[in-house]
Amino acid sequence: MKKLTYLSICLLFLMMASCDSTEMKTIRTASVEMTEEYPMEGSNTLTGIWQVDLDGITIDRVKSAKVTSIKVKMREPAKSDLLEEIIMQLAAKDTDMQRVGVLNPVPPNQSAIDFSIASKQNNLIDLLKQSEITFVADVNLQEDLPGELSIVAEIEFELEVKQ
Amino acid sequence: MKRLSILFVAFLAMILAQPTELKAQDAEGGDALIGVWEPSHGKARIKIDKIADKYYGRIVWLKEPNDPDTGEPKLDKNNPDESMQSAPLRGYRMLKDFEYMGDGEWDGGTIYDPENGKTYSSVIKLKDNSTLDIRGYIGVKTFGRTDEWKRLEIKKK
Repeated sequence: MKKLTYLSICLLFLMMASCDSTEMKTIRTASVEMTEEYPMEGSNTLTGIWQVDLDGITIDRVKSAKVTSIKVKMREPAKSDLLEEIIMQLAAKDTDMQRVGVLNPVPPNQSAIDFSIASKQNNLIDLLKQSEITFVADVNLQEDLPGELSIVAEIEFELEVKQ
Repeated sequence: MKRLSILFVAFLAMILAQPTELKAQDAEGGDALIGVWEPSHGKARIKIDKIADKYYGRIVWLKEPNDPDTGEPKLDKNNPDESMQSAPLRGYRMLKDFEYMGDGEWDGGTIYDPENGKTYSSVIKLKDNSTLDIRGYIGVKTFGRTDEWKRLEIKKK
């Protein structure tokens, strides 16, 4: 009898553990073009919109989410010399803006750049529940730029998904 | 009878049109916050803009842009997140997530104090077109501090 009780408890624990088990999945956003026309010396903001696509994962199954990588490509690498730094944030209508990465200094004359990722991030689930997310890049420019400044960003999220 | 029908249709159109008009006025009212503002200490200027229907403010000018110890641009060295301490203060988004509540008031946002690295809940009230009261608080609005900011008029060339 004692053995049966012990077995039942073990089975129960096993069932509970399997119900709660999760796996880590990585999704990458589409390339989002972020543009500012006629940026001026000093502080400027580049924005672009990502239509949220979780690669077939339903948001109800996501337990937690965080940014693990931000890659930015310069449309015109020569202009990267004029950028002092870039701070990347994510904003959406029904949630708070999240700062997810910083690049300071910006390496000169490079077409593709990797960001330092914020080590303290809130759970980004609420953000991913939105239909669209605005990528917001704050940049400081050394001088006025005629025309436009354009970068393309891809962000990688790590999702903890319930099985 | 025909006159009555016309009157009824006109009345209906008036009722239907009103909320849209009010909504448009509301959105315009919210945008009154957009611009460059100077806190009472005069050490910085903050540009407020609108992203995804909310209002955000960035430091666009500092009276002392460089750290006197290093001679380099001031960084957000008091940020509790060590990985973000390399972000410069100029360009820092210190006002976040304000929503327009109507009647010249924006609520639900936060204000970051770079001098101590703390973030406070915040509410903004427009006193007139060129003056606003911004209140930072923890928990209850009663316990906090209010500062008066002045709109900076950009002189057009």
